[in-house]
Amino acid sequence: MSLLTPDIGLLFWMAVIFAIVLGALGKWAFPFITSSLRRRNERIEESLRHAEEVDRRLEALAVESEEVMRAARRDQSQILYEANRAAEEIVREAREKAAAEGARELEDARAQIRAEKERVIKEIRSEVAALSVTVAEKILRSELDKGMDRPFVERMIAEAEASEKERPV
Amino acid sequence: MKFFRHIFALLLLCVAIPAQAGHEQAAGGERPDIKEFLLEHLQDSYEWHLLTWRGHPVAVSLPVIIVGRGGVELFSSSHLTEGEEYRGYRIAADGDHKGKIVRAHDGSRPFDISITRNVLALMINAALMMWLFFALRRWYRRREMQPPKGILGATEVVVKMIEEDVIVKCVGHDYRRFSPYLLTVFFFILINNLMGLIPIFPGGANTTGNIAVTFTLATCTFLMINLFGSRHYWREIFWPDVPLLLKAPAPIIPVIEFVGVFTKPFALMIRLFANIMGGHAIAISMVMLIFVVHTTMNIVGSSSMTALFVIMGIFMSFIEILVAFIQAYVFTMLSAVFIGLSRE
Repeated sequence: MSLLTPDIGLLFWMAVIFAIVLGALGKWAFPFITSSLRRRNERIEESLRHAEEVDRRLEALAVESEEVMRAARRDQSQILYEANRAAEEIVREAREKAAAEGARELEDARAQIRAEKERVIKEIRSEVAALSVTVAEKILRSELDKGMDRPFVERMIAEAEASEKERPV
Repeated sequence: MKFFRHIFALLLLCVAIPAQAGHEQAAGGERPDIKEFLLEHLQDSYEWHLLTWRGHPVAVSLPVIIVGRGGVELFSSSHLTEGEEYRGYRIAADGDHKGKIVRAHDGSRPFDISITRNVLALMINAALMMWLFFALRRWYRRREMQPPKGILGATEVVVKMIEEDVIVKCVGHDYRRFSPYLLTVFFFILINNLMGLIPIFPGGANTTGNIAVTFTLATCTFLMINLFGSRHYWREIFWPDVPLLLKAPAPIIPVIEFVGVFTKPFALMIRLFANIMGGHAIAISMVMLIFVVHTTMNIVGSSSMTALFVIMGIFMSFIEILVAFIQAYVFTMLSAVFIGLSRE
């Protein structure tokens, strides 16, 4: 039965050794080790959470930038369209203006031409009148010289006056 | 693969060394005294038998320390070999104290705190354990966020497993108070179990298969359970929630509960002791069988049987590695459960 009876000496030494081991490791090693492990675990968890957060934020940022890009693209097309329209407007206006100007100038030219024509006509007419008067004078003088009768001359003058009145000025 | 080859070589060594020892005995011509050889290994001794070389045992004599009325006596156990008497002491050859130091004149036991094989093995294992965990602590002190490699990494994994799977779950909310004790117990048992499986010098001692060692461990758990027990725990023992007749005139349940206070650590003590002692006994028996067969059978039969026993010995060594871990785990887990129950 000696296997089952604890030996006093071994019991004593076992108690001493175990007390030393428990005291040393229980005080200095195990609490430090377990708290280190716990801290590392927490750190890992925190890092994972942080990474997830960053990931999510990045995703949001990507969505946002996409949105910005789309808005920019929309703005760009809007601006281009407006610019186009403005350009067209300007060209059209310019064309219109040019056309109007041209028309006006044409009109002016026409009016000037007409005035010139009238002036020329008037001039020609007065010239013709002077000429005809001179011619008439000459004729009259010769006729008179030949002794043309008075009644004929008077009729001629009357006819000239009449035609002068009929003609529009 | 290289790793497995190492393990295999170690296991072969486990079988080969006791085999060699047995061979020396068998060479004497008589049948090996199996019981004697087995008990010699399972029990403590005053010297550490390393091997037998050409019929002469090579052993380290360990110091004998006896505390008597005349003070402390300290001498080498080499003075006491083969029944010699020294300073009035001898090692008893038979009787109640067989194999122990007794007073030569009346055969009674003195107060003997010799550094025996088991004591030395406990010291070596304790030193190993302290080295391991202080190394781990130093590692964390230097680079906390970097997991260690090698033996420290393996230790860390086991620490984590015991802490998370056993201590936190079984003890409950104030587990931090008990986790150093439970971790110490676990690794103390595990290291002693594993060292006991190594057959050469620093290992091979049957420490956790010794009742005195398991008694001390179980006593510590007993103290942990009862010193920190809550009011609820004591009430459950002396005034449990059962019909009045079961506790009032004759305290049947309280008596059972009170006995239970002692049987729990007692069961822990016996379980660990029996498992480890049994493991050692089987390992040695396997080897001894080779020589039993050798002396009784012809040479052809014995060599094939030898191969069989070597294979079985290797198989048992594998199982013992498993048992070494399981017993440490079970002791720790049950301690944690009992502490947890007393803290409710």
